[in-house]
Amino acid sequence: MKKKTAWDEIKAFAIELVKKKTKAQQIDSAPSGKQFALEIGIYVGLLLCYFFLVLSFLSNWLKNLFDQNKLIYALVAWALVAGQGVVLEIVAVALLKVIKSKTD
Amino acid sequence: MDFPISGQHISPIYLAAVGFIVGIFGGFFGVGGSFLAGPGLFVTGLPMNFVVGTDLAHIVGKSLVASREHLVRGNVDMKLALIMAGGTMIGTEAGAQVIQYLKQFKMVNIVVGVVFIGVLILISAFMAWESWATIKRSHVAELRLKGKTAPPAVSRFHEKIQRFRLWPMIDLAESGIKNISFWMILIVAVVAGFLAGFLGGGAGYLRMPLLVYALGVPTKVAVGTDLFEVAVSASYGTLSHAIKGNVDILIALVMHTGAAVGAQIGVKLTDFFRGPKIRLAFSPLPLIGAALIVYGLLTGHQMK
Repeated sequence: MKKKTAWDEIKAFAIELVKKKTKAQQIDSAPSGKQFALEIGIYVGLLLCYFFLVLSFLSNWLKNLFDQNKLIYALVAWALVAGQGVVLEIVAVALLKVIKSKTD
Repeated sequence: MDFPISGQHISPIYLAAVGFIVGIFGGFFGVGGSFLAGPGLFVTGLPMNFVVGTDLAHIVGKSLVASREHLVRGNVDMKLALIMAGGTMIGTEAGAQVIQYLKQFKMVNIVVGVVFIGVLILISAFMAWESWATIKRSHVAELRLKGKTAPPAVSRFHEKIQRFRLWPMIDLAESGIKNISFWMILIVAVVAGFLAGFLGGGAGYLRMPLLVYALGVPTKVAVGTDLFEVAVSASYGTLSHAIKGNVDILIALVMHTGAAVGAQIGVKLTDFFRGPKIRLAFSPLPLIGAALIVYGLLTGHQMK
């Protein structure tokens, strides 16, 4: 049997994130109150870190970009806010999985 | 805290709190929450063109996250969402162009403010009337015995829309709609997209009711599909408005910090409430936004 590579693991994780679930699967995979609170906690931490990193390192650069090249600014702005939502949520879910597997 | 892009001084705690409240409403009601976020920004003294663009930007991340949540719950009609996406982008660009036009005459604040107030009052009144009538009807003994919820009070309207036969006709299995004209879907998408580009946010306050009442999409599917469209219109609107110099991304990121967490909690709440109750709970919310805009216009914050 073919051994699962890291890429296969990532692919399976990505599919799991957007795959439509049946009602039974939703109930099965629904996090408990504690898990949900932990997920939110991790997510809040990541969001705050992300914002302060952007504020510390990119604030002046973004202002210059806004003044000089609106097209690049628009693309960077979209990527920053989409990244803050989507990437951080994926990282939070992945971290939660790691924590869960360690505690099980 | 100073925000150098728009040149404003605004409390980041206030922005994160507005984002959090808006996020809960967004995840719960399936709307972007611009009926509160836009007015919430306007009262800080941010010029209306920045309010519109920044409001659109802050909902990009959370609408993508929330639409994924609804996608795995089977609440997104993908066929309907993809058909609407084109119309949403056309409408959003048209709205952004009107803002540019008004900017030349320095009339963005007053025109957008007054239109916003009118739209919010109309939506609030309509939603309250309809959902109340539906809940009353659902108490009819026969329906209770059958364990069914009554159809919306304005069900005849979507039946009329579905009877309109202009080729091509579309079958939307996920929404339980057998035959509907492509053009009706496109009109809904363009109108909601226009308001997204013109008033900011995702215009879910209009798209969600239109999906339910005009097209006949079940409420839960309307919530999920609307959030998908909010993600489309917010993404396109952010790019378009940022190119026109109407987006302060740092303000958007602070608001999104609160909104992203609120959206997660809001989506969880949808598991506990049914269609007409969601709509009734939604009905007074646009009035809060209208009151904030009236306050902003009367106190002259728009002059900053």
